[in-house]
Amino acid sequence: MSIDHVIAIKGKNIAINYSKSAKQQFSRLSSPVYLEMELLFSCMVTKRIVQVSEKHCSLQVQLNNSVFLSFRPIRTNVCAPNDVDIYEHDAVEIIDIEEPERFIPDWLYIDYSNNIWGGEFGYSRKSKKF
Amino acid sequence: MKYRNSIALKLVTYILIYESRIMSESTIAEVHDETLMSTSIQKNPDAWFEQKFKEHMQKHKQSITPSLSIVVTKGSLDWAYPPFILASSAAALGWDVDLFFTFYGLSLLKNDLDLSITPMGNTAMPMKMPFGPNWFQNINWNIPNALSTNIPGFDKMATSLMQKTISNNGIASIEELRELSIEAGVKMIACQMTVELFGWDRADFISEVDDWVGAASFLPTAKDSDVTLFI
Repeated sequence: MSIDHVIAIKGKNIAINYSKSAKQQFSRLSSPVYLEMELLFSCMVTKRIVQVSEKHCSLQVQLNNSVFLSFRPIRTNVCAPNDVDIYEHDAVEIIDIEEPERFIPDWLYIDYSNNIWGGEFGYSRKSKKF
Repeated sequence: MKYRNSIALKLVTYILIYESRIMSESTIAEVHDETLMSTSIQKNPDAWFEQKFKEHMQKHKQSITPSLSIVVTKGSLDWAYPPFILASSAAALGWDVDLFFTFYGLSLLKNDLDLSITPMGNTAMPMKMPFGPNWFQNINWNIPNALSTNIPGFDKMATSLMQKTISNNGIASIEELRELSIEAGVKMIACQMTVELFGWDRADFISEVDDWVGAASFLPTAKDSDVTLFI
């Protein structure tokens, strides 16, 4: 699969691919969407793409007219389960890590299914989705 | 001319008076501090020393970068996670991290990671399915060793199920954790003796290996680390 888009965050290029449903949803958007690539250092090192509010969107770039993307590596003091909003959960204390730009990924896949934005991002070229 | 001189003289006098006032105020403050200090020393010298020592040690601690050394000895999929999770997390916090890969642990530095898992002897390993409805995924398949060892390809199946579970939960793969660690400045040190012992070639390993040394060369690093672990 060919790359749809290449963006740079803090000087590091990220190759992006969109799912068909994500592309369709882009054209339907009437208000801005803020997506965040979260790298969580907790009991395990986990990655996820979630929709966040504008105020939480750090290290931000604009993907198109209505979609903004950010990246945030976070250390939490508890093992945050996948479905928890770390910004709203009382038991999660977010501790920003040093030099976050070191952890900016190489590739990103954005998906939209069941009315939820999601996808995957990664580092190794070998584990790329496309 | 006389008038100008008198103004200049007055100005210089004012400046001198002002400066002397500032100096005297700071001198008074210093003298006051010294008096207070000498009074507290006289009153309770032990308590004064203890407090000063604590303050100094706290400043010293804050100025030091913590360090972590891990001796990595295992090369299976399940045992590959702890060293890389600890290393990348510590590096994310700004720690200095050194990983010393020896014996089977050296496999984790290979170009092509082909890690597997076995339920044999892994009594705590849950055997769960990473697909299907929730009730199905929650079943723990207690398969007897006698059966699992006799089924050809059972370990391969267990490995792929584990990989699927890891991926489903958004957990970074070993390859990614290794890359994250390298990006974060974790030092990868390979045991030279193990390479020779197993007849491997340096070309089989990633180019980011920082050093090829023996245990004796790694021990001084481990000795000076704040945290040293053997995994």
